[in-house]
Amino acid sequence: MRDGPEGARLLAIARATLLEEVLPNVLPAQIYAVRMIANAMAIAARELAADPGESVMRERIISLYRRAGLVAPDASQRLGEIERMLAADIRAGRFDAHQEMLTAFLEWQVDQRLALANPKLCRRSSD
Amino acid sequence: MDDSAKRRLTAWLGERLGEPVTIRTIERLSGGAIQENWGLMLVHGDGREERLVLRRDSAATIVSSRSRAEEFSLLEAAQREGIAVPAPVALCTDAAILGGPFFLMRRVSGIADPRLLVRDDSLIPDRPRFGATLGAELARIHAVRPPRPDLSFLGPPDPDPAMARIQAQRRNLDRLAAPQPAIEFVLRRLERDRPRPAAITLIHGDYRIGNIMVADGRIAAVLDWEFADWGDPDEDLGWFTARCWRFGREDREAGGVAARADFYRGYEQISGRRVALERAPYWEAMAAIRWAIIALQQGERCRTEEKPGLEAALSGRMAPQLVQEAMARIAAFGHA
Repeated sequence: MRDGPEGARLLAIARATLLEEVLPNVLPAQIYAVRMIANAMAIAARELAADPGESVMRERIISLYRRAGLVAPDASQRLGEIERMLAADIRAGRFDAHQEMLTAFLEWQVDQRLALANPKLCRRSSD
Repeated sequence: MDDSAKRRLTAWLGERLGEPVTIRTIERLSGGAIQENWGLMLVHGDGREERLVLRRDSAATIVSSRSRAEEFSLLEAAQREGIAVPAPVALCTDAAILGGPFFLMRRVSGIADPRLLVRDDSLIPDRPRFGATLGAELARIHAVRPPRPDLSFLGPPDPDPAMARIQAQRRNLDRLAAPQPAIEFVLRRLERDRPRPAAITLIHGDYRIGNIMVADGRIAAVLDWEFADWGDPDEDLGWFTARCWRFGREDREAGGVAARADFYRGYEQISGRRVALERAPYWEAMAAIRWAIIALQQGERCRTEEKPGLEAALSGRMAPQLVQEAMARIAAFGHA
C-alpha cells in the first residue's frame, strides 16, 4: 500500500506548481518546454486515473464482427491480439461492405484515446 | 566535432575548392532528427568569409530517406531550374573524412520556425502575396518531369504513386508494436478511392512551413529535400494545406501562414494547371496518416532510447488527433 496522495493526484499537484510558480519566472526560450512538460504530466495523470476499459473494448470489437456477419475473434484472447485481427481484416477489405458500423466503432475508439491524450478534441459521443 | 575531424574537413575543403581555407567556427544547428546540420564560418584564401551548412546523417537515422549524395544532386537540379534552394557547394562521399558522406551548402539567412511565421505578421507583411509565392515555388518544383538523367537515382516513376505511398505506410505499420485499426481503415479507403495522377512530376515530399526559409517576407529557400521523389504533384499540395501543418492557425488553410485560395492562385499561375479542389481531402487525409505514423514511430522509439526527448515522447499521443483529422477528411469523398 502506497502513502497518499496517489500518483495521478501527485502529478496534478506538481503540474499546478509548475504552471503557477515556475512558468511565470522562466526565460522566454523555456516557455515552450515548460508547457510541454505540463502537457505530458496532464496526459500521464489522466491515463493513471482512467478505467482499464479493456473488457469494454474487447466486447465492442466482437459485437462489431457479429453484426458484420464475420467470424468473431476468440473472446479469451488478449485485446492486442483482437485489435491486430481487426486491423488485418480491415486491410484485407473484409469490412468494405460494413463501412458505416466500422466508422462508428472507430470514431468511438479514437475518441477513447483522445479523452486521454487531448480531451478538448473529443466529440463527446453518446457513450 | 573533434579537432582531428575539423582538421580533416579543412584539408579536404581546401583541396576541393583549390585554395587554402580555414574554418573559423563550427557548431551544431538545432533541429534535424534525421540529418545533422552544422553551421560553419569558412574563411577563403583571399580572406573572404562565407557561411556554410554541413549536412550529414545523424547517428539515429531510422526513417528511410534520400542519401546525402542524392540530396546534393537534387539541390543541384533544383538550382538549375531556378528554384530557391541553398546553393550546393561540395559533396564528400569519402567516409575517411567525417565517418560518412556529407555535403556543404551555402547558409541562407532567415526564419524557418513555423510558430513564429504563423504568429508574427511583421515577418510576413503581405500574406496573400506570400501565399501565392509558396504556390508558385511548388509549381516550379513540379515542372521537373521524368526522365531526367541527372536524377536517375530516383528510379523509374511509379505509375500509381498513391498505391505506392499506401504500401509504404502499411510496411511502417507492420513494424509498430501496437495494431492501429483506425489507420488501417483510412488506408483502405485511400486505396479504394485513389485518384489517377494528373501527372507524374518531381515532388518535394515534405513541402510545409518549417522547411521554408523566410527572409524579408519572401521565400529565401526551400529546405530538406530528403523525401523528394517522382510522384503525384497533388500530394505536395495536400501536405501543405493539411490541417496538421497549420501550427494552430487553422483558419489559414495554407500552412497556417496564408489562405488556401492565394496558395492555389500562385500555383496555377506558374503551372498552368487548375488545382483539382475535389482531390484536396484525399491528400490531406494521406498527410494526416503519414504524420500519425511518424508520430507513433517517434513515440515507440522513446521506449528503447537511452535519453528520449520530451517532444518525441509526447508525439505518440498526437496520433489519435491526426487519425481523427484523417477520418474527417475521408468523409468528404468517395464511398460512404
